[in-house]
Amino acid sequence: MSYKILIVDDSRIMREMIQRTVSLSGIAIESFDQAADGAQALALMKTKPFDLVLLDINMPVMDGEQLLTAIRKDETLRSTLVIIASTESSDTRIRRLRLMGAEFIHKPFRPEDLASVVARVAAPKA
Amino acid sequence: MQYSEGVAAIGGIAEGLCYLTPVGPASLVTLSQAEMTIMISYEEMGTGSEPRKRGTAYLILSHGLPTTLGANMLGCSDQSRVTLELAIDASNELANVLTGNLLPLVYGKEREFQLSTPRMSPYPSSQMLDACSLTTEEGVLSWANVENG
Repeated sequence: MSYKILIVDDSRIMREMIQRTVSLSGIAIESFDQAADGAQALALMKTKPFDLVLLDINMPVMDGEQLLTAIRKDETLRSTLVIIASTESSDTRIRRLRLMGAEFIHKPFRPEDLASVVARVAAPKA
Repeated sequence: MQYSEGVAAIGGIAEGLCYLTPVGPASLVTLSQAEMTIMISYEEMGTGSEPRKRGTAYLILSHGLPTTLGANMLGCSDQSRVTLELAIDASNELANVLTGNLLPLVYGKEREFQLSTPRMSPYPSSQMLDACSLTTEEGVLSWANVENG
């Protein structure tokens, strides 16, 4: 299976870094798209299906937690794989995000750490 | 936050995020040494009765460092390809990641903070608390916290 991937971060440089890292992860990639905030990402997701979304928490307009909530509430989007890349360190908040079905990776991350998380969540389920 | 703890954290992030080469602790980047200052406002989230922490964090970068950040984070060896916009973007992202990682060292891990979008700022004139500075082979960076109230 080749994955359609959406990267959501208000930093263009971070979006490019994440895209480069995911490209090195070993998973089959069909396409990459990028969005600069949660609202842009949600609008894009309603016009085009994505298999995996990598998103930041702190973003203007609509932050990552709001986007994740919207994704899980939408019947057509709720099964989308989500990885949150953030500096968040509060165990309470991380637990809350994981309960919403998101995987979490702490910034800064090494390319091999992100590659490992992507490969794990993108692996075909038995 | 212990000074050495802060410097170690800055070093880890500078190396892991921006591929800088840490050398050791430094003095605060002065106004004449600074090329760029980035500020981030923060406010504690939550509904507890204890007063919420709020303030402003600053990242101060010495001359040449913003362009180096941009080049390193883009994976680009030719620094002439790094536009001012990209240098600012890279500096903003470093400020964001540093602040997200250092505020728990200052205030404790269980506090949740809302961070503003990073933006360029004049060199801060307020007394800077919890300031940590790191020398790298590529330049000097300082992170400083000014708590409100």
